[in-house]
Amino acid sequence: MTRLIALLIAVATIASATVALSQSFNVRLGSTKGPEQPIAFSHKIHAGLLEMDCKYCHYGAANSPWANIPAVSTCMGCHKFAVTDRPEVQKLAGYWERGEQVPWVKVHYTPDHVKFNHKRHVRAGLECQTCHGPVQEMDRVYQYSSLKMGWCVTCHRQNLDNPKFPASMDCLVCHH
Amino acid sequence: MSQNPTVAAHEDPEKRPITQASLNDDVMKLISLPGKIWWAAFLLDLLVLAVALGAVRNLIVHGWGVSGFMRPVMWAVDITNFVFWVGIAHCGTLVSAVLFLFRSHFRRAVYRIAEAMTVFGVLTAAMFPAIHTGRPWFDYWLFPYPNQRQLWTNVRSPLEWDVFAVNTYLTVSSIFFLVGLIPDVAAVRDRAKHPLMKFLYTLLSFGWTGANYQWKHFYGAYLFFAALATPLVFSVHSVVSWDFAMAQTPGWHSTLFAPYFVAGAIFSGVAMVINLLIPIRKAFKLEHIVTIDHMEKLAKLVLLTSCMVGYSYLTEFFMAWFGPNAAERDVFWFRATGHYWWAFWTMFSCNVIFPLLLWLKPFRRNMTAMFILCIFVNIGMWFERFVIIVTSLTRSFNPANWFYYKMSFTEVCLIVGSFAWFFMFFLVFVRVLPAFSIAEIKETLPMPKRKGGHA
Amino acid sequence: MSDSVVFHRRDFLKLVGVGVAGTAAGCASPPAEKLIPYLVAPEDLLPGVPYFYASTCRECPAGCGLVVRTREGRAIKLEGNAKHPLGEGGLCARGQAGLQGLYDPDRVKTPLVKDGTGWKSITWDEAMALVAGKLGAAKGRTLLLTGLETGTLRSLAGEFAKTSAGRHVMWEPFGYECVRAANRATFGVDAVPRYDVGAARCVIAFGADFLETFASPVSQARGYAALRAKRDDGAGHFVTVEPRLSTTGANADEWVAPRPGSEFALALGLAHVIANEGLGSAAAERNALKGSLAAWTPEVVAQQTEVPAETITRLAKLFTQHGPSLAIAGGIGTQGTHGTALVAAVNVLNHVAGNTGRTVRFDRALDVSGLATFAQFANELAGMAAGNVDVLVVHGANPLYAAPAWAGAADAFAKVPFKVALVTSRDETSEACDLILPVSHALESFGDAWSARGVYSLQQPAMKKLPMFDSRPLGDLLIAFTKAAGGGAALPDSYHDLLRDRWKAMHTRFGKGRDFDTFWTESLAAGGVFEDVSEPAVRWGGTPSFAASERAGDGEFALVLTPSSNFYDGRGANKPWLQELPDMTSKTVWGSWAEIHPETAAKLGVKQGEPLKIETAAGSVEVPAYIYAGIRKDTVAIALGQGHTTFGRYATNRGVNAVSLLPQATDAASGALAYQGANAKLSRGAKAMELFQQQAEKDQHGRHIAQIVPLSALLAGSAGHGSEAPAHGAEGAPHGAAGAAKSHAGEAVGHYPAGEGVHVEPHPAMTRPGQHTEPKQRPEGWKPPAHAITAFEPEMKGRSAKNDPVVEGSYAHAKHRWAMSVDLNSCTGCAACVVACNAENNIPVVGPDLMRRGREMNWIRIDRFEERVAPGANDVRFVPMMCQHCGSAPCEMVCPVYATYHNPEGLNAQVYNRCVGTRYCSNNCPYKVRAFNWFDFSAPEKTTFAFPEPLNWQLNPDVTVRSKGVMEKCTMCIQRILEGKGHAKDEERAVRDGEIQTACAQSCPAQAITFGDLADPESAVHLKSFGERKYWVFQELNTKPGVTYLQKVTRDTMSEAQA
Repeated sequence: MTRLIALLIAVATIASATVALSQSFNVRLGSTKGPEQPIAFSHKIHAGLLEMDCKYCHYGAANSPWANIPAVSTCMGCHKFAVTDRPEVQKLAGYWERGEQVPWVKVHYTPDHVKFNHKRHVRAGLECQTCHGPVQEMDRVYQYSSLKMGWCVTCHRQNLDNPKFPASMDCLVCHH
Repeated sequence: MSQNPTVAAHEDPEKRPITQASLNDDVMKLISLPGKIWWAAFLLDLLVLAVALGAVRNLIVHGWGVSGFMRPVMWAVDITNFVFWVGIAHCGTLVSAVLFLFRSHFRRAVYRIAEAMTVFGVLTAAMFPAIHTGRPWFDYWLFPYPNQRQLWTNVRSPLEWDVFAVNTYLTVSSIFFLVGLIPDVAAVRDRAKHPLMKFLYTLLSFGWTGANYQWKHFYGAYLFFAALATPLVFSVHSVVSWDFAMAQTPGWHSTLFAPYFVAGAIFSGVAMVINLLIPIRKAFKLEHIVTIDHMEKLAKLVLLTSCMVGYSYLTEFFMAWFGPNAAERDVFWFRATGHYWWAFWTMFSCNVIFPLLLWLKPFRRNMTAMFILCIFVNIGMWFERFVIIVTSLTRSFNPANWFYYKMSFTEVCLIVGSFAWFFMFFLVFVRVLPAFSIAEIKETLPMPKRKGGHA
Repeated sequence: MSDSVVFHRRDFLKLVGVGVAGTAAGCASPPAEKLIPYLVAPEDLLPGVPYFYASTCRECPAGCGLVVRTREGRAIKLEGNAKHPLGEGGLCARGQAGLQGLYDPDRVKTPLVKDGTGWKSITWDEAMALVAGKLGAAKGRTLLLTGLETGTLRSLAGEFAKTSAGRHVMWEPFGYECVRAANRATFGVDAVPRYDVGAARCVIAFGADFLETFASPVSQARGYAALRAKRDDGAGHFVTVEPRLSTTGANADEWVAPRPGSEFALALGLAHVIANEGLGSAAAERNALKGSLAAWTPEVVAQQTEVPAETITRLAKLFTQHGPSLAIAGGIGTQGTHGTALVAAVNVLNHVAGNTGRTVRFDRALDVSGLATFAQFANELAGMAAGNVDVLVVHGANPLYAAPAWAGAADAFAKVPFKVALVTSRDETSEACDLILPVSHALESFGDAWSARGVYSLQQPAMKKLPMFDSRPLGDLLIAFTKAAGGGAALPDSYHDLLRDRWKAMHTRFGKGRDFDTFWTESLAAGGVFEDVSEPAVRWGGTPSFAASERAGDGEFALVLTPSSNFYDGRGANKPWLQELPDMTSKTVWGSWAEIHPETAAKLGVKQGEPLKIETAAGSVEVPAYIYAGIRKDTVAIALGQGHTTFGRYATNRGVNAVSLLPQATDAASGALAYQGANAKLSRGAKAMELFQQQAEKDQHGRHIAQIVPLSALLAGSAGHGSEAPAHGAEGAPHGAAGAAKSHAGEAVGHYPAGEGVHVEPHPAMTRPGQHTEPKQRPEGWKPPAHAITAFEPEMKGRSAKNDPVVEGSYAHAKHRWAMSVDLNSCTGCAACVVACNAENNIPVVGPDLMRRGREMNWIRIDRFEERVAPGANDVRFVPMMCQHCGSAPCEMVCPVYATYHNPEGLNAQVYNRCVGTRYCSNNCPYKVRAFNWFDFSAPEKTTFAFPEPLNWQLNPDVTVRSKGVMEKCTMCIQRILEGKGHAKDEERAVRDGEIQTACAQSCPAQAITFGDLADPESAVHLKSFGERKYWVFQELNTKPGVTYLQKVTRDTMSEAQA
């Protein structure tokens, strides 16, 4: 009888503790696989092998709060000529000819009440990889960081006294 | 269950003899398979509760807009109920712990009911802070717990103090209640037939055998918890009062609040105990256990606290008049004469004027009169909180925002529902646990003869 | 929060082929959400960055300059164009709400043709074919009816009329007939002059609501601010002459309430005194006029107007004693059977006082020539009724609503075989037509407006046409019609090209050697070209003869119809922002009301909000009564603009249309519809009805919320000498507040240590940014005790001394203290700021039912306090009330979860996603400026959804749309602050003063609101906040507000000796 009670209590305690802790750590959600994209675009090839500048395609990153997904026209800029024989490139060409936009699947999530500003971070000299991980090694991009508030805050707190670009701990900076 | 043969219709119930045996029978005859009336009451209670839960569901699904709340009156019935029930809850601990420490023996007969009332009262009260928020599903943010957001709660906020005060009070009063039950539950256990009930009683009696060392530890523990609970009587309701006193809203911002609220709490609590005792002792023919003298002592407690409350009212008005704050003056003038004058005068007459009758002995010893009076007191005390909250908010600093609050059906549901919720617990309690402390009453009885006595 | 709304917002991007778009409702439903890229990237458009387009406001004939803020190709905010001579950067509430005309959910989607009683939607080809057929058949019997059109469109309309040998009639309900007629008679010019309020030193308004609807309200408000800013002795007086104290009049120092219809006599009386006593600077024809004024002695006038003779002489003196003065007549207040007489009389007054050409200027005269008078318009209707018209084309005019029934618009329309309505949203008139063609909104199309002399404004599309409305630009349609009528061979197909052609002429005039394209783009960017025009020589033509007019109809009450500053003539009624914007006199929303004097009400036995029956010869209406001391006992006032029968979901069947009360009467001299001059019977109504009031209590109960200082006291040197100051401010108030109190106190309030003169004390909300609330700077190595969690230390300290933002990080790095100052002296209560805030901050409109139940969501409101409302000295005070961003805020301390806290730059922050909704903050807020989301206004599936498609496209993507159960409030436009700081960072410089402007400050026509950095000693807000008139609302509560109010300066007009 008493054992039973003891057991119940123990289980309950452990359960709640686990919940609390899993909250406390920045457990990364999502797998390292990343979602399947309509076109198997490989950052490994473009950013890694060809060493293209991220901002060539994601041209908003340094000038706008939004990094932006490159327009189909941007892709076609090269792929009109480059490796047109590859099936994936032909898929792309197909979209272009049909005048359709490529329905890329979203990889990185922040809730709508978070106002993240790419421009500020890029101009403060952050590498894309700091948050997005080794994209140049990813065939299929996955969400590298948890993008949870704790994750943001940790970095911000470390840079509170950054001489050139002091980070802010003010909630309003992201929530307004 | 065995009816006590000594009871006859004509003789005076007060004078009925109490023996070790009859006491057990008398108390435990409450614990029997519930009859038709009980079921009727219980089902009615659940029905009311269901309706109220419907209203709460609307609050959560559609938002608090379904209530009559508006700017500037952003709190009304929700917090009124909260404070009212916390107040009710206070008397229990007072009667059981404080009077225990003062060794005043009349408590023996009544404290079990009072304690039960306390526990259920807190359970009722605790619901309101929980459901009154705009986004109840985030209530857990009010508890300081480690989280990945690295956020903390604002310990400057009186609401945060509430979280701790109420939880502490609930924990301590429940433990106190359960500890006090142990010997009696054991007695019930020994009589229980139904295996399930026997199992539950066994759990609650913590393997009580009545051995000498157990009694020793029992009273040790009981004294300890009494000592622990006593300060809470004063701390908890003070904290609750600070929800208002800490704000600068005129009508709230007053140092008087803590003692004023504590007195009020005991006032309403005792009145509630009386309201519960009178029908029970009548229904179960326990006049010889809970005697008129016991009731009269409670009545005197009501009278005392009534005077304290009345004094507080007058002080408030005096300070408003005497103090420099024009807004404060406006609010109090508005309370007595403004849009909610009826609420104010209901409060004042129920809490201060009617209880004056208790100066007269006949009233204190007339159960019917007492019952009605205490009903009034409870109504009055509910209105006290309503008046404090609503009139103050209606008349806040900026006249451009003076609007009147109208109660909607939702709030009515909340009020009725809170009673249903409370009585749901109470009805069950009366049927499954000894509503009077056998052990303590027995202390006052002569030791049984060898022959024919039950242990 | 509000994912689904946001989804729609994003979905739009896809439609304009831009940026990120969700394809599933809900932004965090992982597998579903897609990123839709451009197909082809536009070179000049970067998602996430705002772009601005100059344009012209078309919400009323004034035509102020606009700057349209767009994001991802959507117009999200309208602002005044600082470079434009009309408006000069300000924009009124109606202008701000223009967006809701663009995103009106009830806009016409496709061409509609009447079939039986209903409407059938058809394709454009069918529609145009239909029109072409009719026009072809109807040689010479077409009529094009529009509102006031100027510039290219007017000439195009002319061409259309010419080719179809028909006529183009322009009609405005608030046409300026009386003003024009009077000016023709007296000055020989047919124009509405520019009233230079700012240049005047004393203004008398004869029923002219020049701060609401008359002429160019925004510019005039700018002038009003200048007038009231005048500080030298006796200057800046403002007297209003009207039977009912209008919102404009509420700002006056004195209210003269003559018998309705006798105002002109008063004007003549003043002129008489001036001429006879030779006051002021003489005008050339003074003696000539003297003769014609001989009859109007103060005594005669007094007994005509019920205004005592001494008042008349006093006003005459006041009017002339200090340099140029200005008397204004015009607007609906003067449009009655006596209208022309009044304006003429006022012209006489102005001329006698020598104001003509000084404050009454014809340089930037409004171009209203060619506007048909009501009489002419009535003739047209008669013609139509007689069957002289085969094809009627209507645009921008709503006669079936705005013209009284007896004008016969209804049966005139019935007689016309084929009627085409070119509208954005269906209204009463389009319902009576046979074909409805959806035209593009002004913000979607090219155009120009030459609203005033020398002002050639351009109007350019700020965005692509909304995809769900298959509309076409008005110009294109007219061109097509002209061609269909067999003409317009020379015309290009697109109005845009036509516009460019017509502007070739402009190019030759103003090109200054630039090639046309440069000129064109530069003009577009500037919002038009504006030439400096000289004052034309205006000389006195002749004095008409004046006679008191008889009031029409029986009934013992004079009926006064007032224009609605929210809806103008009613065209704004379908905009929810304007419906929810309280009328600044009665503070009512979402409906009609009638104003009567308390004594009248007592006589009739009508209480506040109870039904009142108003009967005239023409008809009767029942409306809730608003009991108002600011009206004569023998007068009843009711506002125009409500009571639409078909005008979208927000306007239809709301209130009553006061026009239906007008008996058959016009002003003979000008042919104006007589809005004034009817008599009415009053009685208690039967219908149960309710008055939706946003503010019920108008007495401030001595709470010193709206403070004044008499000019005399100000000139005496010690500000606040004899002025009001909150009682008990000194007790327990901090150094700052106490000192401030001192500088206010004088002998007026005994509670203070007697202060001699003004000595500037540190502003309570700062000496260093957030000195009082934000952490103190600590010496090196100072370690706080773990329990040191006080108002002055953020809790972080208690938790980790290692990372201590108190001595490091944000708080230490804070460079700014954002603050605001509100000058009550220039605030006119026009409430432009309220609508601007709605637009900027995604504030939901809750509707009449919730407004009645006190669920207002506005972040800023105008509190109206009436100290003295009665003929004679007038004291009404408007207080813009928004979050005060208190240095030590009552709300912050009580929030259990830090949803509201103080940010390093002095803002009182509200973090929506942290808010649990205990509502404690609002209970503890003395200013009551926090709004709670009682329902889910952001969830499309809920009935309470506040942004029905496509209204949600107007939502500002930089501001979270709040969801159910959270508290919200003014953020001082934090999104704009961050944007501004971003620009500064990019250019590696400090933020410039005035670079960041909150929506309210930007919009304010009178520039009463100043936003800026208190920490910058040069900043405008700093100077104002330390000025002599400064005070803080409820400073005795020691909340140390970040919003500083400047006392209203009251001027004594009653005492004889002014100097």
